[in-house]
Amino acid sequence: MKPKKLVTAALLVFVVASLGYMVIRENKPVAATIQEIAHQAEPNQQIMVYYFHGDVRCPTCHKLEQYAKEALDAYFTDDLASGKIKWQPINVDTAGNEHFVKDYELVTKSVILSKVVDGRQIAWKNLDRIWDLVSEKEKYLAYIRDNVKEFAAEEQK
Amino acid sequence: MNELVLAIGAAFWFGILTSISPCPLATNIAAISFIGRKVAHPAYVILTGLLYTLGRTLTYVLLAIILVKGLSSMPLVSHWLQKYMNRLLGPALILVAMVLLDLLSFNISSGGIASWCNKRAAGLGLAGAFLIGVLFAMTFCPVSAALFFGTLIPLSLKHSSGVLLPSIYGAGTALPVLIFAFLLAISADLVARVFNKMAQFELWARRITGGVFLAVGIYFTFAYTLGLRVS
Repeated sequence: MKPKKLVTAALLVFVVASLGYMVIRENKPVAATIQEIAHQAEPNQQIMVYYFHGDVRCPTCHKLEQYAKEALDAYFTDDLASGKIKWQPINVDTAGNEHFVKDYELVTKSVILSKVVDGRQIAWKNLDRIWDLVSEKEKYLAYIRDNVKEFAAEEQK
Repeated sequence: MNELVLAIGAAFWFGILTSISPCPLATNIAAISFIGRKVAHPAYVILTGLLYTLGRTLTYVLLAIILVKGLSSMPLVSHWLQKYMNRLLGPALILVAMVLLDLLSFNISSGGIASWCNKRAAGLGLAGAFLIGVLFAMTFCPVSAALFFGTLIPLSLKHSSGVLLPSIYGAGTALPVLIFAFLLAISADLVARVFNKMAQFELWARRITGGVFLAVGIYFTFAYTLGLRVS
């Protein structure tokens, strides 16, 4: 076989095999549902802090996640340890996680606060300013801190 | 009126921001090399660039109309495009590269516009520029999704503008690519004229474009179709 034909055949096989693998990967269920995650909670009242992302990650997306986690670690150490606050990054492109897109009306990478009482979600909030603030780390951390505090207090009334 | 002018300015700026953010860098490089590859034909480069812009703009307008009219849920459209277009883009780019590198050829026997474009543009020329514009516009990365779905669509809803603002946004997303493509073509044209080797330059420009598409296609296939990216 001529080298040109060989390269053509190899590339076509690669394309078809990749698409086949994609279809197989798509049908592989993995993730826990929101109810299952909530049931793992120990206290009967909990604030879940979700970071939703997809397979496609960008440098800014990594910062969005890293800063949110840093804010929780810095300002809510005890609550994280006791389980009152739980950090949960979730890939919505993983089979079984698509429902989060509809549940929280996600259009891009997002930080969502969810209040769970006795295993049932009673309120949630999208921290939709994360994209505006990600270039100013201190403001971003303060934004996460203030919103988590506010959200927890609101629900306790 | 003032508010609409501000919204138009904002839509254009969001388009520029989408284009110059790092995440669509690979597809932008591919677009630049595709548009600028006919170094000996400045008019052809301009026409290709305009069709690429038209492809992008029409895609955004169509999406905006669907979303502004409430014909589909924004989260679901956004999720579907981000998930599947990135996965399908790699194999599609490899096939485009194979055509550019003369590894694949289409023998369209049945006349029509496709056949005309194919013959006139030596495969994936003018029609290809339009289709690449459509394909790249639909391949949302996180930043472009945040700007389009999170900022431009709410702005379009506020001004009930399913056509004007998305059109301006689409033109903004194409502008930096067009500028670089034209600069590239002009520079290559000057060098080619100095050395009087126009035909060879065009052949190599086509091969380089094919190589860029192949490299970007393989990257996207590994990263998103196969999910093997380390990050």
